[in-house]
Amino acid sequence: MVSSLLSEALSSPTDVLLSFYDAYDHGALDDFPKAVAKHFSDIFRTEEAFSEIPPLIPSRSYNDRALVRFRALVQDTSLSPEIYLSRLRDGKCGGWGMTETPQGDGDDSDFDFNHLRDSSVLWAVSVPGETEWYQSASDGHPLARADQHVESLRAHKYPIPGGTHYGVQIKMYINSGNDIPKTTDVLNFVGILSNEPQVLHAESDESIIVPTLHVLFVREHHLNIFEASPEPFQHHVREELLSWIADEALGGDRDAAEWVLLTYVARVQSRTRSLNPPSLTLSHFPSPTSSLPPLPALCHLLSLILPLHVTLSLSLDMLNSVPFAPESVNEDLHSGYLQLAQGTAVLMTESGIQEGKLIERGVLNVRTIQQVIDTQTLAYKFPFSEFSFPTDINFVILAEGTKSALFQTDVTFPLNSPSTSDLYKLNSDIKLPSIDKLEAFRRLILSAKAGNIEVTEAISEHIQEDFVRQRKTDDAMSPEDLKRTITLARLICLTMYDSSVTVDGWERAKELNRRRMARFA
Amino acid sequence: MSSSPLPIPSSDDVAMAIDDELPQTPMQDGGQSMSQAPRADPLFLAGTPSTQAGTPLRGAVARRAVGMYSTPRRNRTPLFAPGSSSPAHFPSSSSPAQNARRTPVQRGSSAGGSNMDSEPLDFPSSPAGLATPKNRRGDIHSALSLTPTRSRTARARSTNGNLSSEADRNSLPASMHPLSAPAQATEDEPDEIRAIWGTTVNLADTMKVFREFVKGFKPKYRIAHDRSLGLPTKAAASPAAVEVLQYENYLRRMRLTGEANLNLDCENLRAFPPSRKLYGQLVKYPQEVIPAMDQVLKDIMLELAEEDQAEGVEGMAGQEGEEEIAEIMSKVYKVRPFGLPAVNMRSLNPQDTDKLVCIKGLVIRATPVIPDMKVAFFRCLTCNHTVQVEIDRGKIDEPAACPRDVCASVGTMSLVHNRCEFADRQVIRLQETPDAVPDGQTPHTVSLSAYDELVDVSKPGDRLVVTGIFRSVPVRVNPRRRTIKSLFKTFLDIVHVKLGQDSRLGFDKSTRPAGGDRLPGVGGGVGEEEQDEEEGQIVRKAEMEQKVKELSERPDIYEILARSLAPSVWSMDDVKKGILLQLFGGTNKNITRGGGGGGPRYRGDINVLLVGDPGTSKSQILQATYVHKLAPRGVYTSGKGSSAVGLTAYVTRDPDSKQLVLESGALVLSDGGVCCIDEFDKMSEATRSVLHEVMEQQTVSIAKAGIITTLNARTSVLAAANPVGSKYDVNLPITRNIDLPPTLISRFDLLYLVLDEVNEAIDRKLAQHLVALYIEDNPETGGEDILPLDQLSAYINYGRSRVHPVITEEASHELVQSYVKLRSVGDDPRAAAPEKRITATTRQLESMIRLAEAHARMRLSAHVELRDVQEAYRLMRDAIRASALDPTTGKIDMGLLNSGTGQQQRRLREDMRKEVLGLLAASASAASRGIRWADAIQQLANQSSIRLDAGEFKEVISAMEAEGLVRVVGERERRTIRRVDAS
Repeated sequence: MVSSLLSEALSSPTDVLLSFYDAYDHGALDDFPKAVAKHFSDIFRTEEAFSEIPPLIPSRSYNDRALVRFRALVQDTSLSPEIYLSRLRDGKCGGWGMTETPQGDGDDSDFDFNHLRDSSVLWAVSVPGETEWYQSASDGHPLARADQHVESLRAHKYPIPGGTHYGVQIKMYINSGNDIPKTTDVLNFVGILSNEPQVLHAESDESIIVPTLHVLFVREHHLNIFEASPEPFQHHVREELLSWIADEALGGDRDAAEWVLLTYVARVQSRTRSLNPPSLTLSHFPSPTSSLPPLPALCHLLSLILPLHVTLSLSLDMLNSVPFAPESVNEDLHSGYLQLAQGTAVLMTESGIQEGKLIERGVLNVRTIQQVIDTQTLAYKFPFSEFSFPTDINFVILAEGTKSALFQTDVTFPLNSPSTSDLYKLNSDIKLPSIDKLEAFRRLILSAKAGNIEVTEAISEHIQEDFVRQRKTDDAMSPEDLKRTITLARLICLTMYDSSVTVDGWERAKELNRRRMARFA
Repeated sequence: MSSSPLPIPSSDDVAMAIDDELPQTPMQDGGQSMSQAPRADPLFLAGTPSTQAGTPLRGAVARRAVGMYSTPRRNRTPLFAPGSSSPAHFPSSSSPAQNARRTPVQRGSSAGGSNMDSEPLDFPSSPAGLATPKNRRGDIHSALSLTPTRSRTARARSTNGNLSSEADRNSLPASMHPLSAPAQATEDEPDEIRAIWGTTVNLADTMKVFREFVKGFKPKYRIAHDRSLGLPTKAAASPAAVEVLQYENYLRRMRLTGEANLNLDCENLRAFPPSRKLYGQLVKYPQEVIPAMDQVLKDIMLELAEEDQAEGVEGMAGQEGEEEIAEIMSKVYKVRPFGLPAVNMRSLNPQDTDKLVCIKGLVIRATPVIPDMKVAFFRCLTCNHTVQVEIDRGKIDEPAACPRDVCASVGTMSLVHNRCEFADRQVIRLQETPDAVPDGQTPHTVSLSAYDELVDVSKPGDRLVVTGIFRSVPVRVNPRRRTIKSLFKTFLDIVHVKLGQDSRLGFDKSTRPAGGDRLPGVGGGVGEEEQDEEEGQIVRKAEMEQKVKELSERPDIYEILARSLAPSVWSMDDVKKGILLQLFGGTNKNITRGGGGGGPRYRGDINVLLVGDPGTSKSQILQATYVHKLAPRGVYTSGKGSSAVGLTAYVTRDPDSKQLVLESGALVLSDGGVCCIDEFDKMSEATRSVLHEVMEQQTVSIAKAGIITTLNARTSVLAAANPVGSKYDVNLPITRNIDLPPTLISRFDLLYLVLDEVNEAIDRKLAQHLVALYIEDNPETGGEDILPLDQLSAYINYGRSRVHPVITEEASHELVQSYVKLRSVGDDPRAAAPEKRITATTRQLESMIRLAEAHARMRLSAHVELRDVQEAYRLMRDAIRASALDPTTGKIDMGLLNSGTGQQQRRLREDMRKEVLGLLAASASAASRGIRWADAIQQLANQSSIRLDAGEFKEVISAMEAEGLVRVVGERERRTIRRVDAS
């Protein structure tokens, strides 16, 4: 019985919706969208059933009004809500892109105002920076191969210019008040796909046809797609991961590898207390010579182990021309490079920066990036006003000099690298660990990224004592240093699967920082 | 307009038809309207030709408008047929109600909007129909068509009324519906279903009540009303002031100024006991009630004019009065209600359709003026019969067939463009303001339609409080498609607009020119202070104010506010207090008796500088999380790579390190706000010189393309600077510790040293505080009792915008005392010979006044009192003690800040100079080659008991060089000092 409903829902969701409507108590019409969401999410409750819904991916074609799921980044929530007739004149179900055949004269003024409802309209795009392995792990196959180029409608609404993606107009019928999705939320939308016009300009009624997803239900998406680790923490996995990063991408510099790892597993801990993830500059990172591939091997490595990863090769040209923050142009919110999902790891390379002039846009872009690094808020530009939105993005900057030319980061770490050839490699030259190992690496990173850790009374006492002691002997440790070291200790313990910050973690953090300071000497 | 049965309708025919029937209209009028009849007659005659003249004119305008699309037309009057409101049109409700009289009246109001396809015979009241164009207000549409149709049956009924079957017209005029309907509905019954015109709203009642309101409302009602709601009320200037007939006065003013719009504060309707009900009616059925009010308004205008004429009021006597009345007759009067509580535009939903709502927002776009067809003119191609159709819900129903029974040809009706009527319309896009947007959401936008006088009132960037009627109209569907999706679009027809200020971004209003609002209408709104109370959200606002006031009464408010400023920054109480006062600011003072628009302006802005060790949360205080977010128009910038103007930067290779560095950026100065500048010391020379100007004159001069302009930059500066070395050297005076010219330092009212001192107890507490930050779910933040950011912001804004403290006698006395005290710190009684160190200058006095004012503001006190001055003095003294303390003497010396050298230093230099001259004299005999630099230092150091500072030595030598006493030759190590006059 259930399985037949499942297969019917998969093949013709509209019919399921219509029959559900007919069976529904029309007195409670206001709650109908909620009931629909419950009905459908019940049908697809199990993982197996859910994974049977075809995911929405570019380069694949879909029937009109097919049921699809779409793991997407909410890009724009400023679209005006749509008013629809929740009960059509023929008594049928309205909304969800349902149509009716007008009776004869086509007089469309004859409707009942009481049946008008509004639906929220959003614009959502494929999650930018999702790595291939992550897509395969969550969808069963990657979104698109890099060499495939798919023309996308309204490409300016995707954060990465020219990136392969799918952009969809989302219509949500549940009236959730202020709880509608926020920009950069990543959600699984399940609904009926069709093509509908989107009004471009309110006054002119000018519109284009865009793919539209009439949402039946929404399922949350969690970054950590793995279930709780079956086996206990194996210390060697962490060590192996560090060695692998160090050997393959950082010229054997294990400390640098640890800093990179810790930076990328961090997330915003508290906005009110401004406990933001640390940002890292790897200084003395040489520029590639012409014979070498332009991207450092670190990029490739990161895309093998991180779920969301974006590399930005900065150049003056790019800074001067491409927007980094979203901007509303003619009431259409254009995206920017930094409109990224929470937990995205950004690697910025400064090797492309030459002497030259930054024009207004460039200056603003630099400032925008710095603001995100410092405060983890990104200001979207709207006419006559700016709106700040919370971000949770990790930054590592590769700089040639002793520090980044453009940005200030919390931590600067001078790389000890003997030669550039160790740092720039072709994808094919990277030695891959075994599949199982890679899987273990990914599990480690995802669980650390999602993990929670507490600071117990005992350890906080220990830290305080330690701080006071250190200040007595050597007043190099400033309050800022203390904050940084506590953050570091937390991250170290997270990557060790500890449930609370340990003395060992604290000592390691101090040691790591001490070795870093030593490199400046 | 009626068409004649003649094959070729000409305006003359129309006129004749009108003439024929004219007498009917006044005849029907009984009561007081009778008195108008004799006058009305000639008027109508006079008016009629102009109707004819008006039509072609209208056509011409329309043609022009259609052709050019965007020609703005200002003078709208001709569009409305003169005499459009015949006295008969709406009865004066004060006159005894007569059914006989009501018929044409109602037709005028409700049926007027229907097709006026009339042959004179079957439409006996066609003049009324002609005159009906009455209030063809773009925002209201015609009454009938806009009846909120809640059910199909109701709809059908009204449609029925619209279809002018002759029988229907004659036997049961459409207007009878409203009359018959009320009988069936009781007043209390919810009218959702039969909200058709009249179910609960009896037009005559409504008009009567409104008439009562206009003629009877006095400010005292409002005061009583506000009191009952617990709102603050303003004390009336005199007892008589609350007894005036407010709206009669407005009406007289309207007559004098020729204004035809009356702004009606809905709250006044509620305040006036008899009209309380009207408020709800107005909100629910604006499109019926507002035209009724318009009519009442016009009636009363006429009555008043007559009264005044009868009394021979100046300017209203005899012929003058006649003309005045004629003009009133020819005008279209509009009531523009406002003052509803503003709702969030997100919460507008289809259920609000056709109701009066009030929203706030920011204009982001406005179209050019659009000619909006109000009445379409159709002519049958076969028989030349003409029909006029009024717009209904943004649509015009084109007659499918000729309505004339004789002709009845299908599809022959064609639109005659130049006989259609058009009105000004403008579409405005209104976006939510940042304060209204729910957390984490992007702002929404709604469309507004502005009509007639309201066109071009607002410009992109304006903040508006809009009262309007919410509309939902079906989206035009593609006729070729067989299936349709029932979609609708929504917009607001504006009835009233108010240029508002955003409450959070409330910039200092004293920095803005007064006036400047260009809103039409008399009464309420513009230029009347009481209306500042409006802004819609009266209740919420009142709550907020109440809360703010309650807070201000707390004895520890100063501490609470300071603590809330940066909860995650530990300690630094005085710094927080200083910044808090900076946020409040002193009052700007203008000496108005200067030449041209005000003489010199004394700034009320307080500038604060934080100097201190790296890693001491200086930046945190400055950063977006705190001050920048709280401060109105706050700007955060880093001094490094900032320039005052221009928005370009360069990436260059640093000549020393060969690294790429970013040079100069933008320092956007915020006029009327707070500008936070981090790394102040890293600022380029050019920018600093700009800041000099900003901080004292409060202007920025920009030279671009050969033009020098001076822009206002009335901003307070909160800056943070790092010491020259990596750490602040407590043994050196501040001027040596920061790389800033003393002239710039002296422009800061408060200068705080934020030092990272090693102290076990403090360290422990500090560590405790920091570690606590990391313990999840335990936001221990420097104190339990802190205000959330929005409350703090509201409080500060309230203080800034509402409180303008005046210095009391006592306080001014104390100010003088404190100043003298501050100055006398320089006197050292122990010194044998009194040496004058400067501890305070007039600049410090000014600062102290500002701080005291700010402190009074913080208490929301209208007067600067003794304790304000005392706190200001304490802050000043502590700040001076920290910054102007000469570490070599342990004494305060403002000279350090003002000129860069303290008294002690000057004396030292003098001594050194003598010694150098002595050395040179001694060495002159040995060889005339002078003395080597290093040797001189060496020898001096040997002589001196205190440490000799190489920098000081250099200063002395260069001073001597400038005087021409010595000459320095050679480079670096081989520098030699020679005596000039020795050779």
